[in-house]
Amino acid sequence: MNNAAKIFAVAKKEFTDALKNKVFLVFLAFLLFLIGTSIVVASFDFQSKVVVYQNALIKLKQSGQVVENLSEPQFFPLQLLRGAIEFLEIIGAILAIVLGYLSIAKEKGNNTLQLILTRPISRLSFYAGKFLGNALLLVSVAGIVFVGVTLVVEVVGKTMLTGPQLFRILLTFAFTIIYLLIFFSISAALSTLMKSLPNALIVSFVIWILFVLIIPQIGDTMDPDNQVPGGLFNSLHIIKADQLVILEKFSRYEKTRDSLEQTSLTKHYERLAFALLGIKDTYNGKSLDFVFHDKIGDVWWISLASILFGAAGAMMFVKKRMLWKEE
Amino acid sequence: MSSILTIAMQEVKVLFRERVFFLLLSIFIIMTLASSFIGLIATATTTSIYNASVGFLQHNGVNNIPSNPLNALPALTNFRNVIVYIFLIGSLLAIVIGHRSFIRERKSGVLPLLLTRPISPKTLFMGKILGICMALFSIIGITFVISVISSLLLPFQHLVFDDILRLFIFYVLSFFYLLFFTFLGLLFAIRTKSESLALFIPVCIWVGISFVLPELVSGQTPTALLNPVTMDQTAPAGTFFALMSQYLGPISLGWHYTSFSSQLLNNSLQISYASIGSIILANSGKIFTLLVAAGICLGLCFYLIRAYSIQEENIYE
Repeated sequence: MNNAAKIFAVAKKEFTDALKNKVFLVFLAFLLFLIGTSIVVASFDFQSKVVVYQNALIKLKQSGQVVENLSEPQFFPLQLLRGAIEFLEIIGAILAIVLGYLSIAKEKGNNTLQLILTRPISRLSFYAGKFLGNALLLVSVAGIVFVGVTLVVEVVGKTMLTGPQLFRILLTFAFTIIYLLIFFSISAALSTLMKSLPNALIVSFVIWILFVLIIPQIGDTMDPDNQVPGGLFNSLHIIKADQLVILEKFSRYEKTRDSLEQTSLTKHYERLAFALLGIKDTYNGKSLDFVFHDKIGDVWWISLASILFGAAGAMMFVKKRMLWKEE
Repeated sequence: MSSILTIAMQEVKVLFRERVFFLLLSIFIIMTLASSFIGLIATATTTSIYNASVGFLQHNGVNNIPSNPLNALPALTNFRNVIVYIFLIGSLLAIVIGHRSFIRERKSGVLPLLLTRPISPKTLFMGKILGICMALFSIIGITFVISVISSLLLPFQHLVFDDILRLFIFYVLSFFYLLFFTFLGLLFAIRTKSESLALFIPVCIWVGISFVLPELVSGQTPTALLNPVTMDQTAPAGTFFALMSQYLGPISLGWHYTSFSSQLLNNSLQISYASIGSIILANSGKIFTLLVAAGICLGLCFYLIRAYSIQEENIYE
C-alpha cells in the first residue's frame, strides 16, 4: 500500500466515522436548520419593509406630499444570505471545532492510537488522512448547504438564481471551507497538545468566543456610525461622499478600529463573503474582478491562516511524544 | 447544615483552582473592565464626529441641524457593552461552572465514595448548589465593583445614585440569568454519560437561546444582536414576526435578558429616562420567565440527583 493509499484509507475512515457520530450529526442538523431559518426570517423582514414602504407611500400621497424622496426597497436574492453567512461563521466554526476535537479525541480516548502507530504508517500520513477526511466532510457539508440555500432562496424569494449568482454562492462556500478548516486545525492541535480532552474543548470554545464573537463585536460597537440607531450620518442626512470627507480627520481612530477587526479571521471571512454576495451595498452589482481586487487582503488572510494552522496542527501531531491518554 | 457549608466551601475552592475556569474568568473580568473604556472612547469619538459634521453642514449653508443624539444619553450608557460580555462570556463561564461541578467528582470516582459516607445525595447536592451560587455571586460581585470603580476613575462617567442602583439591579438580573446556564451545565453533567456531550448540549442550547430565538422573534441577524445599540430594536411588522413574538417570545430568554438590561442601562434612545420602577413593572413577565427557567433546571437537577445510582458511574471522555 503506497503512502497516498494509506492517507486515503484514513480519510475514508474519518469520513464514515463522522457520519456515524451523533454529536456531529446533531450539530449539522442544527446548522442546516439555522441557515434555513435565517433565510426565511430575512425574506419576511424584506416583505415587512415593502409593506412599511407602501403604507408610507399611501399616507404621503393622501396628504399631498412629495413622494420622490421615498426609495422603494430593492430585492436582491443573495442579500437573503446575510444571516446564513453569520451562522456559518459562528455555528460553522463550532462544527469545525467539534470535528477537530472528535478526530483526535476518539483515538486518544479509545487508546487506538498506540495500535495504529505500530502499523506501517507515519504520524504525518495519519494526520494528513485525518485532515483530508475532515476537509472532504466539510466540502460535503458545504455542498449540502449550497443546494439547500439555493432551493430556499429560490422558493422563499420566488425567483430563479442566475448562473453568475450561483457561481458567487459557490465561491463563497469555497472560502467557507477554507475558513472552517482553520477552526478544525486549532481544535485538533489543542486536543493533541493538552492532556485533558475536555479542557482542550473548553479552550477551543474560548478561542472561538474571542475571535468569532468578541473582537468583531468590539470593532462593530466602536464604529461611530453604530452609536446611534439608524446611523449618525443618516440622522444628519449626510451623503456617503461627504461622510468620507468628515471621517478623514478621524483616520487614526478608524485605523485602530480596523486593525482590531483585522485580528479576527472571522471578520476577514465575513467581509469577503458579504462582498462576494453583494450583501454590503458597496459591492452590490459590482463585478467579481472589482470584488477580488478590493478584497484580496481578506483572501490572503484566511488562506494563509488556514495553511499555517493546518501545518501547526500537523507539526504538533508529529512532534508530540505521548499522544495517547497517559494513565 | 455544616456539611452543606463544608461541601459548598470545597466547591468554591476547587473551582478557583482550575486553570481553564480561571482563564475564562480572567477574560470575563478583563472584558468587563475594558467595556466602560470602549464605551467611553466610542462615545467621545462619535461626539467629535458629530461636531465635525455640524461644522461641515454649517459651512455648506445648512442651518436646521438636529442636536447631538448622544447628549441625551446618560453616563450609564458607556456600560452597555457589559450586557454583551455577560451574554457571551458570562454564559459560557456559567456552563463551565455547572459542568465542572459534577463532572469532576464523577470522573475522579469520588462520588461513589462520598455516597457511601453518611451524607445523603440531597445534602451533597445542596452543598454543590450553594457552592455554585457562592462562586457565581463572587464573580458578579467583582464585576459590579469593577464597573463602579471604573466609573470613578474614567472621565465623564460619574454615576449618580440612580445609575448605581440601575447597575446593581442589572447585575442581580445577570446573576439569575447566569444561574440558569449554570444549572443547565449541571443538569447535563449529571445526566450525560459522555463528558464532551455534557458540554456540547448546553452550548448548543445556549446558541439557540442567544441567537436563534431572538432572531426569530426580532428578525435581527446574530451580529446585530451583539450590538448594544441595535439589540433592543422592535421586531419588523408583519404576521410572521407577530406569530413568532406571540409563541416564541415568552421562552426567548436571551432576548428577555438583553432587552431588559438595555432598558435598565438606558441603552436605547427611545426609552431613555424611564424610571426603574416602571422598567421593572414593564418587564416583570421577562423576570418571571427567567426565574422559572432557572427553577425548572434546578428542579430537574434535584430530581436526577435523587434518582442517581452509583451503578451509573461510567463516564467517558
